[in-house]
Amino acid sequence: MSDRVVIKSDGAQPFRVSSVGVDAETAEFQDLLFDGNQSPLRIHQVGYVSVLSLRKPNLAPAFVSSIAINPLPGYPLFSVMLREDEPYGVGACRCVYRNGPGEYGGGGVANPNTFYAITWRRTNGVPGTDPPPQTNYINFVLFKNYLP
Amino acid sequence: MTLFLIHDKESGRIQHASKVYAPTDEYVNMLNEHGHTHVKVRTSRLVSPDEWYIRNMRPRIRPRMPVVVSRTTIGAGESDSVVFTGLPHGVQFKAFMGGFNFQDERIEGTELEFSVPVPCICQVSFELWPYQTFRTEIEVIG
Repeated sequence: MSDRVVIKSDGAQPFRVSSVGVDAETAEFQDLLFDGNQSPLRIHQVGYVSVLSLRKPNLAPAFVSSIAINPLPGYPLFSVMLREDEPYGVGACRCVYRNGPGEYGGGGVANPNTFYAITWRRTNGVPGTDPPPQTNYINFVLFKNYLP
Repeated sequence: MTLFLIHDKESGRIQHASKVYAPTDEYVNMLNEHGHTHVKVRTSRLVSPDEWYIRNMRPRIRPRMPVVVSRTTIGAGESDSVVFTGLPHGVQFKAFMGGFNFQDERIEGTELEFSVPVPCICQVSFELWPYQTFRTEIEVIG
């Protein structure tokens, strides 16, 4: 007989709930619906940040823009997407792809205090001219693990 | 839930927006330490930088550009054209064909007559801060 719910007073396994047919006491992590020792992730913030595009299609480092994110303790788990804005602004989110003049590349990296939005999209301008860098928007979702 | 809008002090352009579900003083202090000028709004919306900007430390709708387009379908070649009227002085005009930006110029007058040499779907835009960028498509037939 298996118990799907285990509540114990000791610190090792305070509260566990398992999937159907699985004993909560011995269940592997993937068979647990909840484990008191694995603090759930919650969405900490959603938003966007602007990043300038590269001026030329070369291998120069991408521009980065720093923003403050979740205070400690918090592990940097996040999801990002580049938002399309040119040429006529449908605002769709884009994965990395190249299609003729359109080079959509964007992402981000994070440490516990800072999220860096990155794009390696180049400026889309009239050939032979030197257009100013364009603003790209990186959409992001930052999760926070509240386990101290 | 609080929306933090970090913006450029001079232009009011929103550079970063974060909808924070459980904001703390620590988070606000962190923004201040990074030197981010920000406005706090209690809302569940995430406002678009295409439509909003910051003025007098408050989010406001960017004004719409009063552009009028004479036609949305024209013939290819210089014998036919579309006329844009109501342009603000100094607006930046851009034209795209299949994603290629083939025209990018500053318009000093309030009108622009525009023709396209080949059949295509041509996307055009007019940009001038703080107006919302005006965008439309012109079908150019052979």
